[in-house]
Amino acid sequence: MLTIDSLSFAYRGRHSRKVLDRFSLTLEPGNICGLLGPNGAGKSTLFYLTAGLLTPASGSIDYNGFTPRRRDTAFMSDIFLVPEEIALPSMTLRKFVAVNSPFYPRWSAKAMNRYLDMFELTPDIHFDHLSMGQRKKAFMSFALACNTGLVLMDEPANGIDIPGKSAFRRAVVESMTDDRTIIISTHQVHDIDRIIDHVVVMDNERVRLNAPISEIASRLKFGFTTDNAQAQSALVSVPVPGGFNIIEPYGDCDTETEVDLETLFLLTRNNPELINRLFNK
Amino acid sequence: MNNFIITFRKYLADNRKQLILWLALALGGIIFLGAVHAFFRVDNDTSQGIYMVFAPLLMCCFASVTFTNMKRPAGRIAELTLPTTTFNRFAVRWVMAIPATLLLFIAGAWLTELLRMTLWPVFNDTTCPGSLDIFLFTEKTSAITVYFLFLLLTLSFFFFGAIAWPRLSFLKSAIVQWAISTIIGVISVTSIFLFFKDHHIGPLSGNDIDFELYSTLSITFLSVLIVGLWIMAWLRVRESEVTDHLL
Repeated sequence: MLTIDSLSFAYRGRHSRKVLDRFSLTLEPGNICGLLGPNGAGKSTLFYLTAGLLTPASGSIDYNGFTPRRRDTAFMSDIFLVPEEIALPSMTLRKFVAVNSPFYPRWSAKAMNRYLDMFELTPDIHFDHLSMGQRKKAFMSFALACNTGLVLMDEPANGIDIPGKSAFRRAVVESMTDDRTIIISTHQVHDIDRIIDHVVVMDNERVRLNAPISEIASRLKFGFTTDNAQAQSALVSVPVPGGFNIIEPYGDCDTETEVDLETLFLLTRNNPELINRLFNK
Repeated sequence: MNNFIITFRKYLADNRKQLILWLALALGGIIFLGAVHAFFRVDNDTSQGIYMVFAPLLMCCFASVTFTNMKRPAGRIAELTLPTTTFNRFAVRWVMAIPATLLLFIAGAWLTELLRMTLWPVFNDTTCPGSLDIFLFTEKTSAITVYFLFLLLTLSFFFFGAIAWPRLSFLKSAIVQWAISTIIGVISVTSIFLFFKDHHIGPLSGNDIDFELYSTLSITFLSVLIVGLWIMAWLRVRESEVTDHLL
């Protein structure tokens, strides 16, 4: 379980401002969590803090009894960070796996081959001959095959082609186990909206929404309308070609609708009080 | 598998191309020096002296790039998210930059001399005088010890510089070392003139008590400095791992 309690952090420098301020979050294992937030909200910083790369100004992070900033080897081998920009050495994927997999006790060669198949890659590819998207696919295959308890993915689908995005979703879902947590930070909400079962929205240094998708679907009704009046009476409406994407209060007789992350994100920003009332008791 | 061994294996694999390049440079230098010295009939002492001035330059360059992958955020993240201890990450680089480089230095000196002697008859129609031996430029054991300690100190300083100044570390280390050496030199010379007018300090006469005292003091002082630099480098690595900024 990942527990973040009153975490505050600011990058040093002349124009330093708080990136996270008394930020608290608890995530149970067995979830694929979507981390959403505007640019500069601190999503990557949160990942770096969770991975033990930065020291919090105050507050604490606890992952299964480990304090990330102490950087215990046992902790490091149970967490995998896939950063937005990946640095890969000049070697084949096979060699990369040979020298890196011994660090991860639960690494699975079988799973690696399965993910590589999904991404249509082979172990003999050389990183120097790959595009950015292909390098990312190879690295993500390795990350998921390490079977770490916590996987942090920062904009994982950036630079990946359309078949690759679909393969990415399949790989993430297939890699899930009851004792694993995968957190995906992205602005491309459509890349993850079908696979996540929990959503966290960050804004202004805090958590604005932290709820399972099932709970959101049971409290808000997502839809599309061409009716201007209905759009205006909705909790939030987003003009799209041909009409509006809307969110309305969930009625007793309504059937659950599919959560539209983009519209939900806008509602969270426009009406934080309502979100707070509905989800953050 | 032992965490140090797998960290070492990973370092060698990740830096394979650069290590091959450094070895090729070293080998090229050895062949060049061996051939040139044979061609110009350079004697053993001079040949070894030239080697002992130029080889350390390459060694210092190598020592100053041991942490080069830490100077960009992506490389730093890749390095710091690796499940290994800070000490292992430091120790692997220390082994490569200090003992391995010193061994290569000694092997290189031997190889240069072997080449000089082998190529001598090819260029000069005469056999090379003397036998195969390295570091013959002085008969004093303590003098060669002091030389090696100076070499180790320089190397250690560039290794420390690689951690302290991830960007332009060779240049910055060279400038700082030159400045420190100048200050220490000025202070030492001034002190000698002020306080030790009646004594000669240095290898002037073999059986002199001053010489033995000087050697012992130098060896002790240099050894302490070297170990101190390694400890400082280790502390700097540990301190720089988790900070309030990524670079």
